[in-house]
Amino acid sequence: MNRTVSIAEVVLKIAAGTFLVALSVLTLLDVLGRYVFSMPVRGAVELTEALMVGIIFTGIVLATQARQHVTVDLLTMALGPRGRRVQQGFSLLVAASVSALLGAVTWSQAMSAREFGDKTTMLGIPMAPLMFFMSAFLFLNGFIHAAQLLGLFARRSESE
Amino acid sequence: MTEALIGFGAMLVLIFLQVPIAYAMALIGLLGTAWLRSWPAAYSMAGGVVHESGFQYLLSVVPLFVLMGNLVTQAKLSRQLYAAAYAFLGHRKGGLAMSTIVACGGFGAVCGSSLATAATMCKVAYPEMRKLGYSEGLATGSIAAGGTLGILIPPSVVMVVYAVLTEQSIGKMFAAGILPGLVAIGFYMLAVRWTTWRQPDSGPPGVRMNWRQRLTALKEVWGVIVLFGIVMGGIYGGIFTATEAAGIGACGAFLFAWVRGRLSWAIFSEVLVESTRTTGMLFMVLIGAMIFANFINFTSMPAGLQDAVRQFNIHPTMVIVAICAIYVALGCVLESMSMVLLTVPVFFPLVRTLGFDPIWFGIIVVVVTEISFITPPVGLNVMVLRSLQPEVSIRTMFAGVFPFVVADLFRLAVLIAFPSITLLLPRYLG
Repeated sequence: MNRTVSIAEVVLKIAAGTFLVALSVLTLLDVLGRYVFSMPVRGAVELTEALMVGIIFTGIVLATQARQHVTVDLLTMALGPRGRRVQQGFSLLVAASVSALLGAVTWSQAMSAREFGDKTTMLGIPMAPLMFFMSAFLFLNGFIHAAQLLGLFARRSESE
Repeated sequence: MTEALIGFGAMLVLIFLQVPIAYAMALIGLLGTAWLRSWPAAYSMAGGVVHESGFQYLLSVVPLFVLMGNLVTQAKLSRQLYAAAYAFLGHRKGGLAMSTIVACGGFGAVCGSSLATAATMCKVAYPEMRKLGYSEGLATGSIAAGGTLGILIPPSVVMVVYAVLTEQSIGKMFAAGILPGLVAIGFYMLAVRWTTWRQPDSGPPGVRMNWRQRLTALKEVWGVIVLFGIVMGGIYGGIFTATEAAGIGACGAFLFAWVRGRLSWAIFSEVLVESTRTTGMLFMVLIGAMIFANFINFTSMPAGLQDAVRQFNIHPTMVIVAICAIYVALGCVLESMSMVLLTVPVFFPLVRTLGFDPIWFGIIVVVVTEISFITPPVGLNVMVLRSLQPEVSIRTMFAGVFPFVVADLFRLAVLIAFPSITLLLPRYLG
């Protein structure tokens, strides 16, 4: 199980890095192409948007995995160990539910994009797969929050 | 109006329970919209927000400027920047603290984040200042305050988000940040002078350098100047758009760090992952804030605020002062990005009806969020310094940063009183 998780993590990081490098290079090529070769990259805007989807949603999952989302620990610092665990459990539960909910709303958007065959104007990139990707990553994000929640309980039973 | 206030209250409760800000905003935004309209309406609104945030060409500047900042940080430019500033200012009383401020300004010119600026400069400037016998307060205060220049001096991630939210030109927004940035450096210098005047031992002078040494030190920072020149020159010379400038800047920063031999494969991949992570974190906040802002727009709050101003005949400048006060208060709880995303949709229509310039208001917003970086209880820059220098008490840090907060308030007053400082450059550039 642990091995699968770490392989998944590496794949995710490679994907995220590749998207980001591709975005930088795409911009560079577009500008160079326009000025040096008078031939900008066709559909650069659409490709940028597609890469942004990749960067944002892998990034959200990576941020969750590293527990990097912004929180305020002003009041919770004063809690005892038990209170703190309850608070952490609550916070992770909210995060997991909201994430899954966002995954679900995006899934229905993706379904309707597939139904109507939505495509980008210039390159004709189908929208539905990109939106299914967004939805899947939001679900994955919710799953990681849920796993962190389970981890919290597991630690508790260990300590008892 | 009541619904909006209940919404804000509920969101703050969740935030205080340490629910990540992004999720707290999204949840309340969803529930609020479902309450005011219907569940299907909330459902499709949220779907629309996620969709729009994903497919945003203009916001591609965010990951690219984040990447550029991270690469520049790896290039270890901070030391040279500091040395150059030191060569000119080090021999003065409090000169090292002044050098820190100037070096932070220089670093801010290639990095769009305040936290990164403060953290990077801390590693270089703090040991130097302490070695010369600077007080802990002045040393940490000048770094925390100098760090805030990161989001005012372009490029700046917060400015990009403001520009996209309010449909303003990113180029004009960047141009508008330059003079207020210089004014900020000036005021911070005065704050250092004030501290050394009050406590002469807090900032002893360093060695005076001759002009030859100064020019040598200046030559070392060519990279920052070239990178800033390419990005800003490209935008204002009409060669590329602000969005493209970010990509060019990221590639330039890569080359620069690589030429300097600072970029091993391991470091490069870490920089990429870190930049994507930061982007993911920022966009999660963006999605949450947009869902919340949609809910607020369904309430009567934006119109209610305008009516209240009209009804009570409040002077427009007083409205701006009140907005600034709200920002400083919110800054105690929220970080800059959530603050801008949450409040701009509420305040912007009001500010527009009162006839203020949207670019000018953007700069005011950035300046007040900057103040929130260094005010107690949770000034983020101070928190970052605290994690890097745990031996200095938080009390000493906030006491040290206090003169800089006062300097910030004076600067804010100057920028409100003289909008032309902000609006001069955007008139000719962008």
